Amino acid sequence: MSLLQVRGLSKRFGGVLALWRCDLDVQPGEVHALIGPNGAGKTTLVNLVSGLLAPTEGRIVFRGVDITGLPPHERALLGIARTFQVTNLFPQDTVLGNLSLVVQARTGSSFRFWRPVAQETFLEQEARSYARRVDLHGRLEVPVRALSHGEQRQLEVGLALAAEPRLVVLDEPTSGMGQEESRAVVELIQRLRGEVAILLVEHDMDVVFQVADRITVLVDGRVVASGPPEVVREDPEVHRAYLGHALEEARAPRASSRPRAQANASGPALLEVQGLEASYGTSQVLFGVDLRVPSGHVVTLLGRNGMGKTTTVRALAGLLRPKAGRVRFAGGEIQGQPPEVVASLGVALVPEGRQIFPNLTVRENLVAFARGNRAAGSPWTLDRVLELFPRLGARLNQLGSRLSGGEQQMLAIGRALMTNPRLLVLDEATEGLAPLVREEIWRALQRLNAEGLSVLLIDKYVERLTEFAHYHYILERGRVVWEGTSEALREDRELWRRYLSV
Amino acid sequence: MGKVMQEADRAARTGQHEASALVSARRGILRERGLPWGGVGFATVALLVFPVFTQALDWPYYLSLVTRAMILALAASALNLVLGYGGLVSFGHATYYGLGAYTVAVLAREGIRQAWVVWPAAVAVAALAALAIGAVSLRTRGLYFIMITLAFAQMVYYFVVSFKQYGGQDGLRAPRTDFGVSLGDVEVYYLAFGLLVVSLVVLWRIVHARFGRALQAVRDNEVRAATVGFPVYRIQLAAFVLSGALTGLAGALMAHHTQYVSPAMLSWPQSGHFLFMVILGGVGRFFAGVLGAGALVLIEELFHVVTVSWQLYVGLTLLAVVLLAPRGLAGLAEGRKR
Repeated sequence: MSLLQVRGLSKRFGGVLALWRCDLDVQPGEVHALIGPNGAGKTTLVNLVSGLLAPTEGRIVFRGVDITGLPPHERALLGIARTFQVTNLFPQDTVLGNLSLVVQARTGSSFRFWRPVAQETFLEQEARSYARRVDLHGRLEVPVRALSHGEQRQLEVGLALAAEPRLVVLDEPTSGMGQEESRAVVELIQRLRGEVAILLVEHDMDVVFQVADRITVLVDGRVVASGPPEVVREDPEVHRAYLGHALEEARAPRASSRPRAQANASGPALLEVQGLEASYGTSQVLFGVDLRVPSGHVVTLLGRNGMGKTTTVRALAGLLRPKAGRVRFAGGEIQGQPPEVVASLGVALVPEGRQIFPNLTVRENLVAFARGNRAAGSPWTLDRVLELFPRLGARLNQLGSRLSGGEQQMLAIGRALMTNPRLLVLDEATEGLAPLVREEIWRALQRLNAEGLSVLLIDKYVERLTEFAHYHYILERGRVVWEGTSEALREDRELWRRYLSV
Repeated sequence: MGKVMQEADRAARTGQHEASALVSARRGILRERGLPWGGVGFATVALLVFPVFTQALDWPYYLSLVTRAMILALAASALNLVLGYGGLVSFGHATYYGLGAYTVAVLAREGIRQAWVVWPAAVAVAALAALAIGAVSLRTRGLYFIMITLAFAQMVYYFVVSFKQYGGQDGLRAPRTDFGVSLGDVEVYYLAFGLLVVSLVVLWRIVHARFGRALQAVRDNEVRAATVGFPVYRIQLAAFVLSGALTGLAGALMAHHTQYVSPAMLSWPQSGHFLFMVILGGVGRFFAGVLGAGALVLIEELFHVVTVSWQLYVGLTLLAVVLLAPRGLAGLAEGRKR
């Protein structure tokens, strides 16, 4: 019998259906990978399994017990442990302290008020053995804050193991890790195989295909395939859904609307980035990124998840203070400037996840961003945005939260345009959208570019991007590893396999 | 787990007297430094002999002042359990303080003055109130928790004020309970001293026991604590009830000290006062309550002597402490040692 059985699980957030009637089976001792594009509902599913969210409908059965209504701590004591995508530890405590807390949680009641816990030496002894398993035995007394990002990720896994679980849920254990560190995680998973069942959420396909016994593919909140890696790899449904219609388009490329290939060196640069370095706390994410966006061009930033794309645009927009490097925009240096200054100079960011104002109407969302006429070109007005995205016109007085994902995306772009930008920066603007809506957004971008707007965008549908973008940069672990024109990118299939996991 | 655990367990049972326990205690899994024995010893002795001087020099006012400081220190230390160790900003601790005090006064009005009935009753009433209020409030977080504890406190305040037979706005006389011997001011002083010491020992054991460690884990990372198996809600509720009970004890003591209770003891400024003391002392440091209460009573007294608008200067002093010593007085003391 399966260790974990998920049956008909759905989760609705307000008007958004994050998960729809999902089934999932994890057998004892197997490594089961859960993959899917961003926003497919992987983390939602993981949170439902560990009890941080309550499902809208469906059942979760673990070791024969229906745990659908149990709180997280009871599930933990039954044997479900997890790691978090974003490192989630006890920051004030040491490595040893973190691990021995977990040992304490599973070895008897915490409602003991008198005996000093320091006398229970077995807590610490056991904690040491787990530290050894995740290669942190040399760092026992180090406060978590002082650990490197990689070490914190190791401790994440350590905490899960210290719970002596039957099932470990690893939510993107290699996120933000270097290649060396990723390899260590793969080895750790190999060592654990058979000892404990693992549900692995992972974007790095190299890792997935190395370690998984079975793979379940989630797309738009639905399970589209589940089975051994060989089968899933060949599944046409998976190809179509997970890789977008990119592959189909590749077979019948449209000759129309292809931009004239131009060497990126030509033309004055509107945006020029040199040696950009940035980090989150102790973990450095960017190690010297160089890129330029010539006036009137569409430039893309490609690469797998966690490679530094979002960090790059955040640093450009002033949302993250870069550690080093220069950012020149329209002739002036803007690195380290606060976001409102960068925005007023003409850089408009359409952030990942849209981030529209949910409690304002469509009209209010747009008008709130309107900026008086500036020297540059014709100013954007409400009418002009509605002309670009007619769908928004019918929804003017609805609250932002009531819009569909696609409409929210259009609103986010329209809102950015209301600032009359000279450079539009889009972070995953087509993420989690239906193919038709994606197409609508790309067409809008093409039109904007034809009118002279410069665009820098992050997107996963590379094939489609090559039809209208002028130039591309591929990021890998915080560095630009390739740059070139659409033609060059189309032709180099090896590149796709290596850096874009297609 | 199996083998590893058995081995570890055996090692734990046989090796309890070994140095390892001491080592780990010194290293401080709980991030708490060991007791500052020098300071604690000095304070204990000073407080023990203090009444000798006040009696000899006929300074009843200062006896009363220090009694008050010790009682407030008890209440603030109780609040520090939830505020400092639990990360829960309760803006309603005056409720438990006031209920403890009113229990003494109301029972006396009804003719019940036996100590062995009144004191447990005062603590029990406060604990029950904390259980009921905590059970609801702890389902909320952050600002909402602050507001809901405040709202409950206001409800209790108006509830008590509405009882005209128990004094309403005017408050109520609270004759001291009967211990078989009559309680004079010196006896009340030593009662407050003894209960403060006992309470601090209890609190010290609690925060260094499994429970205290779990409570701090929940404070530091609630989601992670839940997913490794800590029953977050029950842990927080237990801490809240313990804190409420000890605050109720402080209230009963204050009723004995002043022999009078008033609705002001239940009011929100009183709750704010307790918060001030803990923040002044250094949130989450073990002696925050003692240092904060002592310092506040001292500061108030000093300015009170010097100027009529003393409250202004107390406020300015607090402002200065918060800006210049963000870790409170306890933090200052530690900083100097380093």
